[in-house]
Amino acid sequence: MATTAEASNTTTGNTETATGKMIKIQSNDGQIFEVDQGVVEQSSTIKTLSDLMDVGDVPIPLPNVKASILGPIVDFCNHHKNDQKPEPIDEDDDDDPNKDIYEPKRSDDICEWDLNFIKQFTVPEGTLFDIIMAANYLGIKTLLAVGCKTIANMVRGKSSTEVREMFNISYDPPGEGINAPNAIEGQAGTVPTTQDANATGPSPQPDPMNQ
Amino acid sequence: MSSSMLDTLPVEILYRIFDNLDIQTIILSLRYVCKRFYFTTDSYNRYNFNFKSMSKPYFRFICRLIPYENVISLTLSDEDKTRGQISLFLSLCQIEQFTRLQSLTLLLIEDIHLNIFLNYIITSSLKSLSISTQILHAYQNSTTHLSSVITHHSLQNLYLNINDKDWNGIAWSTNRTLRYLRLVNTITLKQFCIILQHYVCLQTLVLKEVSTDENENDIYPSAFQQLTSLTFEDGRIEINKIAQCVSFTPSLTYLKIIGDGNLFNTSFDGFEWEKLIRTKLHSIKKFEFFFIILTYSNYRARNIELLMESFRTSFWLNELHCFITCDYITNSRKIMLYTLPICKTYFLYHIDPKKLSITNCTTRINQNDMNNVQQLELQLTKDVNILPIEKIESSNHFLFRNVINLTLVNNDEWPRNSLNFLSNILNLSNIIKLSLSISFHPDHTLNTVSNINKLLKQTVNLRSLLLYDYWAPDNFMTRMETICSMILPNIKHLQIRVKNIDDIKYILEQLQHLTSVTFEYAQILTVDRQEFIESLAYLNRYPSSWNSQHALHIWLRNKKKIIP
Repeated sequence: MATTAEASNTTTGNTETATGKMIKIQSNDGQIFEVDQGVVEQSSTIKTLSDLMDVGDVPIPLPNVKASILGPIVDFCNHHKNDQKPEPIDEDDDDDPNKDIYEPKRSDDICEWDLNFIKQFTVPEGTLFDIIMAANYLGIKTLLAVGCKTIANMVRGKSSTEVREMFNISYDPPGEGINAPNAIEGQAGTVPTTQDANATGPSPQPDPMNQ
Repeated sequence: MSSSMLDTLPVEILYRIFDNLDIQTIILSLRYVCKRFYFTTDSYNRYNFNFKSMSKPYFRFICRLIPYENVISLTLSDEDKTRGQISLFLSLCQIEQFTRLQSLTLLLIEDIHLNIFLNYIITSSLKSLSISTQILHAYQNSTTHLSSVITHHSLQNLYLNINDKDWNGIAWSTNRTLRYLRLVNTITLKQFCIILQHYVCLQTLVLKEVSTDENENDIYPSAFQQLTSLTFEDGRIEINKIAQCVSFTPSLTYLKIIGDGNLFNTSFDGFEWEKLIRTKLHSIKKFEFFFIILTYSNYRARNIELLMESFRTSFWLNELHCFITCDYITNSRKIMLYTLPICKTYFLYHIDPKKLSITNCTTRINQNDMNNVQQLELQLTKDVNILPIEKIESSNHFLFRNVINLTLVNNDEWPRNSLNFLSNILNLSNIIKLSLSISFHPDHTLNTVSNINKLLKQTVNLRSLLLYDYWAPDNFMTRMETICSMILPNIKHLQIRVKNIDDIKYILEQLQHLTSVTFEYAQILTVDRQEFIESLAYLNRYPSSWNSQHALHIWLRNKKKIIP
């Protein structure tokens, strides 16, 4: 049975607030969240669906997101709804006069609130990946960026062995398939990414970062 | 429990994670985590190969695996940490193979190599280009090529730090693609106008300063409407010259001025700046500045209050929303007048108990005001011991939370409260580059070394240590041993003063984990480059070196091999 959750800054049952029309969204396990335009604007998926469908009081179904993930996402969007307008869709856009175009992509610029927000999602429980997948599905670029930067910060400078241990990734055993040491050594000179015909890539075992 | 895992994420999300990673982690680590990652690194097609701080063995290894057609950004550097990198790159790779390159950055490139890249650029589809050259080695003339490059049809963003000879020889022609131009050179008002005349789509211009020549005053009577953002950076500030410039750019919505000046030849009065903006810049939305102002000897502190009063008008507070602070450093009779949040990445912090600070808005408190500062310099004096240091509960309250580059100056006894003070204003574990300008007086040497050791233990992520130190002659002999005992394994780049070639050899023998060293000559020391390289052969570290009048730069290969 569907239940209605009260999203931050909203009052259940009201369809109009100071921030405009309220929209209902429904998680794949039946929980309904009521969100305002400030939240809708941050999700390209919800915005498109609400624009296309005259939903009225009917909740928009979000079959790929469960309530335990959708709830925090609504919190995230409520927190950020008064932020300055996000970057244009074109990520290469450099019209911002304050932006140093030669600055490499940074992943250490996650704000304090977002850092604390993302900490509630973990690798062992898989919820960190759930929130990233949900952000991707819902088209919430800021949340997707926070999730991807968090993963990047975790793996930066780690060896492949450490990454496998950290994320519980099973190692493709040597001798089987294309990841076998001999196979990779053979491919390394011919795979599209390698131009030098004489180059040989290391087998899956080497851990150059651990040297 | 969720079934989601890192290795099951869709490829577009893995690509986004790669976007935030350095090339070493992608090519040397993630690629070999599992089968899927191996092929994902193959198909990823927006590689940013930034070799700026890469160690030599990684560089050689990665150069063999470059997926040329999947690289969109390339950075090569002959800076101190990677001297000789560009030459090595050209011996291992052909730049013409980078067929999809959109951004190219060449740091401290020698002219002889620059011409090779310029030939490539002219036929490329580059959107962004950044070039800084080694001025001392400017023996080849690149002007002809540069003239073609700066008007290249595809370029949208251009940064140039070239010698004045090349700059003044450039022949300009019309370009309709360039939107962003950053110059380190000083240019004349005529050149300022020539740039705007030829770059008809230019939106953002960053330059050092504009000098005026009386002969070129009335050349361009009309204004240039395309420019919306203008920054003067690290030059001399004179309001009259800035007024001349902005009279050609009435469409500016953003103006930033960083530099120094003095009260003898210009005004920093808020009324004057308000008048300039009101009369010439009707579209302005944001004005940021950082002025360092030298005052005269009988300047009185009460004048600061008068100065700030001129920035408390409705124009500054209600129209421009400019929050401004003014620090008067009594010791040096210097004023620092700047908008908040601070608009520059380098900040010189004055430890002066008599420092007078006044703002134009008493109600504003923002803990993020100093977030843009990444490079901090301060002089450790005994005044550190009398500063009130409050207990900081959380790292969230660091005044300089984003500082990664720290410079400390100490000419006397190391103040006992220094570490406590530093720990309270910045996160020492974030520091990756530390410069120490220390005077090792024999009476304080033990204490100073002990305190530096304590500091180095706190800076756990330090990668570069630069020692601009001054030792008394009688303890110079023990200096190398002392220094080597301080260098922890996390430090990969060292800059140090040496007295003779034995010092150089001692450092290289003792500190095997270093990947690059800059030996600064403490006195006139002539090193025969070839003889020296040969003498290092027994170290088995394959150094690349670059010798100048004042320093020897070495980029080393570790003893350990990268491939089993």
